[in-house]
Amino acid sequence: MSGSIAEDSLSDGFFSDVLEGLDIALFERICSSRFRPIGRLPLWFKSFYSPVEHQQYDLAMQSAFLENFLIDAEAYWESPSDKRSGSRLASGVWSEGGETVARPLEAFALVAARRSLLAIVDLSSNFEDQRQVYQRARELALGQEKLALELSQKQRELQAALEQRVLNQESLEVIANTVAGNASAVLICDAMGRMQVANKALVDIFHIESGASGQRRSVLERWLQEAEGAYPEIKRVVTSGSYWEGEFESQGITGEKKWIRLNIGPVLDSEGTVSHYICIANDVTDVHYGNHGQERFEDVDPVTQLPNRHSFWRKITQLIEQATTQHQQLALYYVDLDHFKRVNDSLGHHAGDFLLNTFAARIAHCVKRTDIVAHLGGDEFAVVAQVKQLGNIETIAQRLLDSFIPPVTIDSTDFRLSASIGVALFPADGLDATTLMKHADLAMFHAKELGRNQCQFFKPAIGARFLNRLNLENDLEAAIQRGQFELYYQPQICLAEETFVRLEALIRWRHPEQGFISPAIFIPLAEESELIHKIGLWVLNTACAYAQQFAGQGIKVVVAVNVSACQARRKDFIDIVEQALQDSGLPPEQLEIEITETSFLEQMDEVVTMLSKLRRMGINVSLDDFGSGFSSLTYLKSLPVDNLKLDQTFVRELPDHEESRAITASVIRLAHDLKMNVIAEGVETVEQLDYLRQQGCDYVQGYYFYRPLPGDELPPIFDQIMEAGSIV
Amino acid sequence: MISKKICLIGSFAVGKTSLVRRFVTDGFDEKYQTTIGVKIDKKEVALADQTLQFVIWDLEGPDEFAELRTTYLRGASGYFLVIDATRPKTLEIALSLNQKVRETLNSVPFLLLINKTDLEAERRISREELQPCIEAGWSVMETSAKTGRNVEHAFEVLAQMLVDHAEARSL
Repeated sequence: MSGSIAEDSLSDGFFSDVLEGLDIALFERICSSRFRPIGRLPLWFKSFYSPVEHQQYDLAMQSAFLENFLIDAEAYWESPSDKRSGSRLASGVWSEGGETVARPLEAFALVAARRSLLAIVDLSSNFEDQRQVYQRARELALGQEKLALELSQKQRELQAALEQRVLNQESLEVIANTVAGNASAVLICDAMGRMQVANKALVDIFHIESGASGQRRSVLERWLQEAEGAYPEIKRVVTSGSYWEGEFESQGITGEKKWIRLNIGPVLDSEGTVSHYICIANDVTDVHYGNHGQERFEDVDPVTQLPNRHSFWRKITQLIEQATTQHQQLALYYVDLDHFKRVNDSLGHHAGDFLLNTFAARIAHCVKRTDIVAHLGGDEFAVVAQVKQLGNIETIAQRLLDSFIPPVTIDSTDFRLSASIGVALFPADGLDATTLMKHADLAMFHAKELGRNQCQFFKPAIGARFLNRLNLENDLEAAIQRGQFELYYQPQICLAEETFVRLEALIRWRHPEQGFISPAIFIPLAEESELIHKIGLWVLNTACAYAQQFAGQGIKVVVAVNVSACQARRKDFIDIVEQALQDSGLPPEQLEIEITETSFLEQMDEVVTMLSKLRRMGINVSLDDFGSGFSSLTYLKSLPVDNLKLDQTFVRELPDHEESRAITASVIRLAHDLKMNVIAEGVETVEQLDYLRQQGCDYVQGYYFYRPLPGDELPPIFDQIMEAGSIV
Repeated sequence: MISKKICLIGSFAVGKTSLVRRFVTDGFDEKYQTTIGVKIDKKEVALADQTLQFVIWDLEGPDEFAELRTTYLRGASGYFLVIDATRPKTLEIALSLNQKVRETLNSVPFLLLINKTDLEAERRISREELQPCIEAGWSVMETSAKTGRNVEHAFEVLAQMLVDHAEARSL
């Protein structure tokens, strides 16, 4: 139906000549619903439609499909702009007639010689061939879809089975033998990413040289790097011990590009630390290309009905291309719900989905309809807004944060969630989608670190810090084995007479390249990665052994060990302490456990029960940093503690600061009323010491007396330590 | 008799044509025959106090060969969104299609049909996964064009929804 028919002089005769031999029914529109045939009508047409009068046809009345199409055709005929020579409007294919006599037809509206024409074409001749092509293509797509589904299921099952075997501490050699012939590529790495098991499929499909140890370590790293293009958060997810699966394009060492479906399952040991990564991979290149054309229909996330990650990725790429040519600025907001996992775990997935759905709608309301809002998966959303004025960037960020303020009601209970948001700007923070996403993700992570429920903009320093942090996390894992931790001991001076030495054990990390790293930096890292349990155990064992070594010399050393909140909440914490005492031979009364107020913030009843047991065993308990946290006096009376450690922020301001004086005096009085001792931290001047002594403080600790010292420097000064309080 | 146009929308091979055939002629063909373009059928549905004639537009499932032509939806009083219980992708596609349909038809009644439920062992879309749709207020029904389960009922329910919708709008 292409070609130019534009001359006024063309007659019905001309059309009849052209149509002769073609299976086309051609009509001229007379009025809105009436059509006059031009030339002879094909027989098939007459079997479906009948003239109403004077050989005119009311096609809208006789065909529901044409009734619909003629509305568009009418607009086409009426619109002068579309009346270009040779242009036409196609209806698409429809089947006319019952099942046995159905014919595939297609109608075209066109304008020729200033006449509004309608052509109806019988497509029967080539239709079956065309249908067969579609049929085969769709059957193939169905097969591939089924294959992908089965593959995904099998990978998950294999991953879970291997995880269980690793947890059961089966020998990796045995596991390697059993997966040797598996069709899926199996890679098991240790926590550092070093390859422990690689089966034949891994070697064959991905051309991994199983013998090359240098390359061994790079397989997981290389995959992570390649997947990062589509999943910028992958490293963070995996290194934090979470399960991940997805598909990405990989360029192997041979340069050949493949699509990989990969599952990465970190195995957590009994202390919650990653011990291994189990990776199952398959080459899904064929499946991927087979389904490529369907991607546009898989755009929507089923939970939130927002565009999903695939769709978002395509949209942001297009938007960046457009912004580049039109010199526009974009702001990418990476929104992550705070503590969403807790809700999901405690209330179930339905409630979680409901929350996601609700927040998805709220987020979408924060921006214009033309901006992009997507659900990237889990509790992560992304928003891309065009920036016309710089001030709008922060306005949108604030609007997003505010959208989380109203509670969500589930089963008559109000739930409040907040979000952490990272922002990266185009072109300032990245010129491509991958960089922009990665930087927004890092900024979001930084917002989490700063206490959540806030928005942070990407700065180059954040990226550098994160890299440094990742490196530190890796180094931390090896620090125990490599003997890089040291315990220093700071004496606690009794302001009355005492016959034993009190020491607080303080950990130090001597990093081979960076020198001493402050516990303020690595302890929070260890707490997040669960390494804290290993470190805590080492501190406890080392401190007990240190204190006990002087028993033979008749010197009684009481050692205080700091215990983090997550250690204190462990169900087997009592067993761990008992074991340490048993291994070292240290009498329980020579061990003191220092815990912070934050240990009580969650699971208070459990922590109180645990501390009571410790005290019944004869172990002393100190409440550290008292005054820096919630410091509830109501709780204080019910806490099973022997000592209060007055936070150094108050001590530092003594004796000049009136409020600190008042608080210090009150705390000492209160503690004594509750039969507790008070240990003042951070004593650095004689004035501070005098004031504390006047108030009846029991112990002091600080640079005025001794800084933390290596264990071997203390024995020569034990006598001085015991007498220090009475001398000054 | 009131005539109402309805559409069947969903990914390819979810059984839209089979549902129509089961409803119109009570037939079923095990072999998959892909639809090209649009097939239009008519059938009456008797309700408690009136009879409705359905003009049923069976639309080709969109894929790389064909997009959903929203002009086909014009004038529809309701529609079936059809998915295949054995293919999770068809739910995602249906949700995507539904967005397009809502932009064209606004708030006409529709039913989400989970077809091929006779293939229970191969089922990959759990009832839990459909929960968000139900919580969003969608009407959801499990069908099997093969066994005829709920097919007639689905059309009756949609017919009643159309009548109720029309009455509500006339108030």
